[in-house]
Amino acid sequence: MDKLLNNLVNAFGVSGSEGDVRNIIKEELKDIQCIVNEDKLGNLIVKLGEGQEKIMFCAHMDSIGFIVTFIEESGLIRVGKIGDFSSSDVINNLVRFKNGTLGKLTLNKEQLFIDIGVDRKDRVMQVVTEGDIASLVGSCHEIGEENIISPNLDNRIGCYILLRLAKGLKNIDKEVYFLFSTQHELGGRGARAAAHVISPEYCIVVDLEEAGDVFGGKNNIKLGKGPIIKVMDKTLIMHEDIKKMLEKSAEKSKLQVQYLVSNSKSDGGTIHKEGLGIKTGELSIPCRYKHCFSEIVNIKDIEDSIKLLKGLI
Amino acid sequence: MLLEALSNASGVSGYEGEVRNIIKEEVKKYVDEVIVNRMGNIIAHKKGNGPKIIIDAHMDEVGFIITGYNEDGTLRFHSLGGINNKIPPAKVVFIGKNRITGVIGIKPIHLQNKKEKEKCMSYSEYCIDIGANSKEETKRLVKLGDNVVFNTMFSEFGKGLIKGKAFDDRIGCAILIEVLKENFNCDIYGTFNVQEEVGERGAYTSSFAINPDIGIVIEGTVCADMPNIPDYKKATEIGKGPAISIMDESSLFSSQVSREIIKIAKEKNIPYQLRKSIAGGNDGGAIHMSGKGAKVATISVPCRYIHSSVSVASLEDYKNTCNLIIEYLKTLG
Repeated sequence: MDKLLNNLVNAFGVSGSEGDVRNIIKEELKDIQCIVNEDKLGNLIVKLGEGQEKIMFCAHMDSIGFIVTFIEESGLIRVGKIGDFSSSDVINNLVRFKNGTLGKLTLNKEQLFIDIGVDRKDRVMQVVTEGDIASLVGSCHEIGEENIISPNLDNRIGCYILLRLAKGLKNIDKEVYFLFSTQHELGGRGARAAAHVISPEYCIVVDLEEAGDVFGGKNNIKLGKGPIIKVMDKTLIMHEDIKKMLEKSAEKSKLQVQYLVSNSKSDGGTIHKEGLGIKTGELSIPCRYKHCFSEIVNIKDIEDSIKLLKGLI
Repeated sequence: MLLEALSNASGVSGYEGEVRNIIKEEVKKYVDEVIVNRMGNIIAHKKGNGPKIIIDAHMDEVGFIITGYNEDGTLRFHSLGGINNKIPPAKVVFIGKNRITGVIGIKPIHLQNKKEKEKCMSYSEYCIDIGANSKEETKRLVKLGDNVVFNTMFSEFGKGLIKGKAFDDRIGCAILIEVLKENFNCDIYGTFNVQEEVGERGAYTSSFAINPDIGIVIEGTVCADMPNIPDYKKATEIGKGPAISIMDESSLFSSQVSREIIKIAKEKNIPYQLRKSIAGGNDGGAIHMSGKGAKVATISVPCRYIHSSVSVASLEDYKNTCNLIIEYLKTLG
């Protein structure tokens, strides 16, 4: 298992609390020549190279999570969802608060609870209070044929790809921006502000997309069959120029790609409408069981995505 | 108090003129510059050094808009902003600039069948009666698109409580004015925004122009301290102090800013509560979603029966909210 990827998926990084992920990325960037800025919303904006053209790559740092709304006398903790996901996909698993407190996530009549094993409100309040944030926990393993299973692969995989890409860049003749964005799971809130400031001509978002090659799967995407050119989702229609750029690069490197029209939301949704408009598209990595504690992603898909994106620069 | 005049004034979304005039006259005494932008927001700048802070309140209230004439001279109407269907029947309203009195009619009880008695009626089944005898007469008095507000008048009652309409967010406007009377080191923009109730439309433009570091939203917010509601559903309670939001549908509030505010409350012995609900939305959404973004927080006065013809709030909560915001701002810059 790659150490950087392992660190990224184990970092605490629920929407709005991306600090730990941000620190890992900053640390990793120390080795390369670049300008790093953090903005008011916590986005990390990394600039490499000089030139006429401005191109931006974006991956969100945040993951889904839970926020405490009320603590019962019994010590059970009522939580609300941060992000748009199905409660039944995440329950009966371990969750962790930012201060390390562990608990079990459970569901009763559409209400999510966390049980931290403390049975009185006042004693719970010593470690957890209203407004505190919790994240899914699980371990990260390599399984089967070059697959990774872990929580929070959405979208630390994207961050990992961008970091690998940034490290591999040499002699570039354009301004290349890497945006590690915040609050994606709440509707691309961070990415919008950064796109406003950077105002690039092109933007490629790197994120995960549900793979449908499981029982009850809802699309034709297969794990291990290459990165996805996401033609359209709820918030974004891929710009034709971006589509051509991605296809050209895939052809040049003889990489297999998949195509998808999806119901998901992209950081590109808020990005492409900023300022004078930004030519935007998303390259997605297939992921089985997205938004749960055991997401699965294929290593070859990751490596192919890096090759494909490198071809654009 | 100024809140009385603000609460009684008419100002549904898009028709905030009357409220704007009251506020403009009042704030110019306390700030360096007052601008009304194209959307109609008031931006009251109190110059200073250090971080740029927006203190936000919205001027508009929920109300109705006239959408048609019936043959008998009554009026068709719809809500402007979120007013539940259960609210309108048997209320007295004022229509348009001339404040023409109208009564919202409902089918008499003896003509309602069992099903009708039980269900909640819809706007299409209501009408406003202005006492006219014909469509022609009504047409001379009321124009399509005229705005409508409840006729509720502000008053104090009970032990330190106040009642009136439009506390969401005239209570925020009144507090913001109180805050602007004080002197601070930081660079403060008091924004009195329009059209919050229809999707924070005004706040986008004032925030874009100002580009603040921090946005503090002052609201009149939901309060659910009724006897038949379980504790966990009581988003806020009257008399327990200003409510600090953790998250809502429009924003994830900056835990850093909220923590600083809570620290000040503890230090200065100002009671506070957390808003224990993540539903709803406010201008904070627009402030951090325009321009370069901002850190946002919300401090609210709990208001019972919000988004109806009458709300109830506590004068203590009002004063404590003023104090908390003033003390917090003193620590900046």
